[in-house]
Amino acid sequence: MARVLVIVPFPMDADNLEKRKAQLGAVKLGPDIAFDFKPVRIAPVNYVSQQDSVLADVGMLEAGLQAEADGYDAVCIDTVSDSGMAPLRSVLNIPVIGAGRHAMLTALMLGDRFSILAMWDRWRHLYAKTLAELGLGAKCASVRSAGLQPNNQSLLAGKEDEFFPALHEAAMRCIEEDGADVIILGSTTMHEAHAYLAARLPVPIINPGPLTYRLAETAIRLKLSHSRVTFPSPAAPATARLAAMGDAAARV
Amino acid sequence: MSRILMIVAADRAAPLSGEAEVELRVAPGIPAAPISAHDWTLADLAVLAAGQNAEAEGFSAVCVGEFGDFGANALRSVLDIPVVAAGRSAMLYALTLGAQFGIIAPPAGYTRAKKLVQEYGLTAQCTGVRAYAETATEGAILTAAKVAIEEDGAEVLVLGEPVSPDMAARLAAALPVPVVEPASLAVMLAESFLGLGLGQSRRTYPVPQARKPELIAKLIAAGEGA
Repeated sequence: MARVLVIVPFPMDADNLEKRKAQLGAVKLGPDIAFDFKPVRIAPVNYVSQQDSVLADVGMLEAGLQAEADGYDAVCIDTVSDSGMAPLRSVLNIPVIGAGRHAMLTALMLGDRFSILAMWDRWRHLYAKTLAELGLGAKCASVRSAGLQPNNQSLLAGKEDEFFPALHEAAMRCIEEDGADVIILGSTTMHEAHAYLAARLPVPIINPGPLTYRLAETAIRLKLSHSRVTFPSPAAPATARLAAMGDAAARV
Repeated sequence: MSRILMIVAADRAAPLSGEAEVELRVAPGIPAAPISAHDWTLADLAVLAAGQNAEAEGFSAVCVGEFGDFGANALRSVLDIPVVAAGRSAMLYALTLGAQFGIIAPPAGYTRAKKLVQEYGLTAQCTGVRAYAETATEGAILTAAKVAIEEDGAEVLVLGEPVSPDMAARLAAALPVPVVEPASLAVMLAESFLGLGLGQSRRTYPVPQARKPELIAKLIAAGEGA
């Protein structure tokens, strides 16, 4: 049985963690694979500035540092920001799947250009960073937001009637005005809207969290992991220091 | 169990799948060692003919199993089931593993690989294509791979022609970067797309106004032995 660790980017209670785990229901998985969901201990309140990105990277690194030693076969990063993916890849030999990077590259397997559909404009910097790293800015037709206030704990619950049509309208503008061939949901926190949108849009729409589960499985079965040339190892992983930081954050 | 059709140029073992039955089909009419645009045009037609009825035949997905992606775009325009292009997918997948990839290929694959890198807009992410002799031994292929890594700076290596799983494993063990074998990856991606309900975009691959399945089949039949 292959075991995959899904790192959830915010501390949260059991009820809200269940809303994250519900992403597993959106995908048919292969045999003999299991997923454990683990919230981070260190995190920003949300992901709207570069300060937040640093805290997110540290929190994801701390949460995943021991994944290989704990017997996991792969790690999935449950955020389209890919926070922590690069530092975790530098210390782990098992595959580390970032939802954002993998969603963009998969979109280009299905069509020529993609748009990213966000809840609000304050997430724009996250996509700009990954597009720049990949050098694929020209393949992005647009980043559009529906101007909605996200909630990374309760997600879209109770706001479906307002949010789903607004997301649909923004997605249609991505397709008709911006020329998107594929749509990517801009956050794993938007997964509850995926089925609604997939049934109504004339192009494929990628649900980034569930995509990482399948691509973790792909990497495990093909025995593929990230390149050590791209992600060189540190001279000395700061295991004790990061654990102490995690303990400190949990007490704040 | 779902069935995946893999279209290839020459007979070989089908990649293993944990979830689907993979049926290998050699497309009649793909020129041997397709090295020029003339050959590619004929290969496009041959793959289109071999796969155009896949949905009606009960397949859930199609993989175009050659790195050259011949006919893959045309199949995408006439089929609603997912069509995975092995070369395109391998290059994009390589970028999930590292910042830049290199390709090694036999002489017939060299020009095609260069063309596809350009067409997919990945020139800046590709460190180059290194060719080895058509009759190269495994040692010579390994040497080409090392040149791609050490001289060109490839951080991930994409194989430009199918090799056996055993040979892919030996190459991976002997090299310091990940090695992507397009045909086996294509099957895994087809399974993933089926599991996620994803397929090619109709905006990129619009349906023809008039489908011509009979004409396409007749062209291939007429060309056989001619």
